Amino acid sequence: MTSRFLQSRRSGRQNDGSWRLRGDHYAGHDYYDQSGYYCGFGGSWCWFNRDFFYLAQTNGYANVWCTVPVNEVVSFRGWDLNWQTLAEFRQELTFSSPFGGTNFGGRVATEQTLSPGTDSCYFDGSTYPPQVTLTGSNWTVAGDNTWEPDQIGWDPIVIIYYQQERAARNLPMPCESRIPQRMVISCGAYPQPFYKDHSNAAIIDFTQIAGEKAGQRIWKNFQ
Amino acid sequence: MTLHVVRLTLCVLALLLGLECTAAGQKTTTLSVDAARPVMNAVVTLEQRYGWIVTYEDPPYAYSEDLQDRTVVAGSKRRALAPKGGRLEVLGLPGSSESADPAALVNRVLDAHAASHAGERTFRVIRSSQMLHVVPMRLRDPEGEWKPIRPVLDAAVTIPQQSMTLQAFVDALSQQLTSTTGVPVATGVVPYHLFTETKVTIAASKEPARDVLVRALNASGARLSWLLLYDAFDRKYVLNIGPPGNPGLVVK
Repeated sequence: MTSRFLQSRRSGRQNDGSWRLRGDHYAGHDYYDQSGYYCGFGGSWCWFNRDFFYLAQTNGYANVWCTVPVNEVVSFRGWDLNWQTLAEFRQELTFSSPFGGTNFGGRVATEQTLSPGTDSCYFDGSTYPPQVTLTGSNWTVAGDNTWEPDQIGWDPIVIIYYQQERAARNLPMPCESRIPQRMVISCGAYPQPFYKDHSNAAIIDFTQIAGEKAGQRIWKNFQ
Repeated sequence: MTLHVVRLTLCVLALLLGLECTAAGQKTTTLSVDAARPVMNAVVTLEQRYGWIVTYEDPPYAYSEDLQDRTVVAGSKRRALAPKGGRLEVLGLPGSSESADPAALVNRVLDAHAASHAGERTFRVIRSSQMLHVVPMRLRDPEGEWKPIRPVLDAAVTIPQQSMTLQAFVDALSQQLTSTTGVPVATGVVPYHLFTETKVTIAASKEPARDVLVRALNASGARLSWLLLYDAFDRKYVLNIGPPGNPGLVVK
């Protein structure tokens, strides 16, 4: 482990309160040796998301602003009670360091559209526009490092429309709206670092619908 | 002379990239669409290209020649009806929003649409705060006669002052439009999380529904546009709301 922390040292605290660090960079996550230095979560080690703190070359500089989750574990929690065509997913933020976890409670997780997705339910002339972007919703992380629910699905009137219209037009089923979801997390007054990408899908078949996130596709009957 | 040479060079480069050039040397582009709702695709493309908000409202298509029936399954209870649409092309669009007059540009789209429909202009543009609205003005009735029409969102609505979610507001607006106009209006696709989490305080007294809707969307703090589309089989309108410039509808 120690061998991964070569040639790193603190360069100094910036006027904006962040630390400026210099270190080596690895194919996975970057590590910085800053023994004895505070860097945002009270420990003496920091583990930062490599994309957000990416440096163009080794021995460059990085600004250390806040801790970033290293993963987000997704689990299905049920269907929305009011709108029973929405699958609800629960997310748990995880973090690991030689000194244990950290608490993201109170921070805000926000979704972004990584790139426009695809909507194979849409056809030219449809009464409903293609769903290829996310709305940029945000959720406050709870004290147990979870945020919820991320609701994935269609309005019932849209499901019925596509079931009937695609049947009448003899168009293939199932069809789906699939959108790449990029998650970022608040970081004080600093730009929000990215921490996880997902592929979310809302699927319609003739007699069933499904919500999908993180490879978990949950079906239910609907006709 | 030097300036002309520079402009000519830029034009040659632009042409190589598939763009066009005006006499003044500015880069221009062509908007070309062949779709069931070419005007809708065109205005969404303008939203995406220039960062504007241009909403769109369908005419309530009623004449069989204005519709296409794509039903292919024998015995289907539902007829797969959609606007017949067609091709629309606008040449010489400015390369950036800086040199573009939004209303003038949208009117060029509507002129181009009229030109491809025997000169019959069916849409007009309305301005409101920070938005343009493309609305229907004429339509062929079931017998094929051209008749002036009043856009659905021109209807006056009254909403007692109250704080409610955007979802509740849009549902209430749709219900009131249905009872006022006699044409069913349903809430379509909306940003669910935003609409159920965001509260707005809205009041209206015999105000055009369009103005009230603009006010509510602006109060949300999000940049939103709408597509009010007509379902010719169910004979109802569907109010879809989302971020402007839907990439799934943008054309080259």
